[in-house]
Amino acid sequence: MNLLSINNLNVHYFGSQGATKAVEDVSLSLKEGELLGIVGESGCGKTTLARSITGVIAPTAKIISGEILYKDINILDPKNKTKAQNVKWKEISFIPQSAMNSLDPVYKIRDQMREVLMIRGGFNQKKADEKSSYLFDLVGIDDKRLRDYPHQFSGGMKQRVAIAMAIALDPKIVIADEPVTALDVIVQRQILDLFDKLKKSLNLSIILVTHDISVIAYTCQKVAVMYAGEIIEMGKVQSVLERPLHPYTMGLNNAFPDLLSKKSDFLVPIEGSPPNLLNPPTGCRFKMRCPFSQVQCNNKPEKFKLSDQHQVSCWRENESEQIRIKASQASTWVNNV
Amino acid sequence: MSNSKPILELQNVSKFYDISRNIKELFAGIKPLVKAVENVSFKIFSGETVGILGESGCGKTTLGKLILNLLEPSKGNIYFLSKDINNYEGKQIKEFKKNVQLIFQNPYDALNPRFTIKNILLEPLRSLDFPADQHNSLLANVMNLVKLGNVSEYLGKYPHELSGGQLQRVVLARALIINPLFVVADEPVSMLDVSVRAGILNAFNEAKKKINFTAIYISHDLALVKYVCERTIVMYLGSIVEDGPTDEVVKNPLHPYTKALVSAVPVPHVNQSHEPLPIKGNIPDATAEYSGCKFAERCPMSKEICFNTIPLLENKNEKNQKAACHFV
Repeated sequence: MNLLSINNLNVHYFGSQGATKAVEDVSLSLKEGELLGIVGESGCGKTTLARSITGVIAPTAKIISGEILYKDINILDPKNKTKAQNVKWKEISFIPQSAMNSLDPVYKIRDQMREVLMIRGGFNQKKADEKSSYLFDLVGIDDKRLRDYPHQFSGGMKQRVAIAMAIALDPKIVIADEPVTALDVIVQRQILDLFDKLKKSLNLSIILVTHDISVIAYTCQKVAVMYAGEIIEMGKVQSVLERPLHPYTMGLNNAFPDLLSKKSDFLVPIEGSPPNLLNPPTGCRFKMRCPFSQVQCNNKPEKFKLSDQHQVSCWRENESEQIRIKASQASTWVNNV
Repeated sequence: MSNSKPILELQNVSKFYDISRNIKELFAGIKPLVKAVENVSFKIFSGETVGILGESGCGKTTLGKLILNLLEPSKGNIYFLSKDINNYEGKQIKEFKKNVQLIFQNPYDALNPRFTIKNILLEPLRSLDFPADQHNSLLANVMNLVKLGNVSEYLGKYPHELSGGQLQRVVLARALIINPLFVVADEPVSMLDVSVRAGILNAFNEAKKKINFTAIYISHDLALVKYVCERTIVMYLGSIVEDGPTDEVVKNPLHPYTKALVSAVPVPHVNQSHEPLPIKGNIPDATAEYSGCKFAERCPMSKEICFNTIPLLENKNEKNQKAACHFV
């Protein structure tokens, strides 16, 4: 059974120039104990999507349509307001982007932990402090450090504190928005290993939002690739990375530096930049940058399900074998190599 | 190569920042020193692209600033074309700036929002007294070099009208317009998206071939350093721990820190090793005094000697790979 399913979610930002269609017709599901990665470039809507699930979107953003089901309760439905509120943080918690800056600099860490545990979780102070020590132990920080202020912590340790807060009320799902982006590789690795450990020991389901394919490859089982507000490809990490079906995923693979590759390998950029979501193009949103676009691409591509493991939104999905061969050549993407 | 004269040479360069952290220390006269760069020596030869790799706080940006003569070293000397850059007089400093340029990390902050792209690009020519009749040809050349596309389309625009990738090309063009001998690139693509990164790096590589400058590429990302640089210097807490050909550093790292760094880099492949890292803990406080190897307390193979004797950066094999470790 799916723990969380999102069906046809649309989120728009309203500004002076009209609506920015940040998330368009997104559907995905998360099973218990699954680690789902959402990958995409900046501005592709991945953060908006993550924030919509936890209900902490910006005041200018509005969920236009769609449903988010947590254990078959639609938490977007106003009728379920009280139920939905209980879901927040107790069932689904959130680690915001640059969690290191999300700690309040004038309060001790212990007080910030108490805030979560006492106000949201209904613990008394003594119990809250005990739980904080336990959580710190779990994320690998000495519990003496609870008495410190955030500025006394390094970046990686602040990230650990943010994780401790997120798992404080034993949620089922943790949504982590770029949890390792500002961290050095060694610390990054430690945090990713921590996620893995917590997932196993607490039976957590995790949604990991990132722009880094290698982070996905290292940690996740399932991945959704987003482009310009839409999920364009989704499936098992292995099949999406090794046998991508969407030209954008192929292009992203080419553009990604790989430590194991040969020096002679050429990094291939995807020319152009993502479309403005105030007026997104009709049809496929990648068509302007796509070397394989056809007339047909002016119509919105359907979501082709190849198997339970793999789905793609591309009209030329059935030619993916040939396209993949062409996409691996730099001349396909750049004119004057 | 080792017989020719280096274009840049650092001799035992150190840079200490003093920070008085609180009023008690201030009155007690305690001046804690952050040793951002300590006892760093290396030579760079013409045509090389050298990556300076390290985690945040390891002193790589300070090192870049020292080389650019934006900071004065606390100890040691830096020679550019055999002249000490801190002893320049009068016009010599302008000559130095005609030869050495910087590519900034964040293109959104590095460009004056009230200047048009044309003015941004002409600024170095004006301030370094290039004759006005050369301006237009240099401008056209550099726009072509960084593949900024249709020249007339961009020149009248302001920075906010361009995308991040285009802005970084402008930053690149501004550094290269005077045809510098030496370029310091400080994390030039870390602010950019993956799909545009590759374009900037390719433009950088091509420009390097065409105008043949020597470069230092400062980065925390080993995969990018590998793509751009043939030689890599690895820094830890202000000191060099390893220096060698990039391919060797990646394939056959010598220093335990480099080994940990290489194994920590995630790769975009599914079946990668999940082995635990061989090191523990965090980077210690940069104000601490060390009588031995700075990495000893985190190192899996440290012995007594590591805590007592500072290891020297020595050649360890025939491939000119140097490491500062007692046990390599």
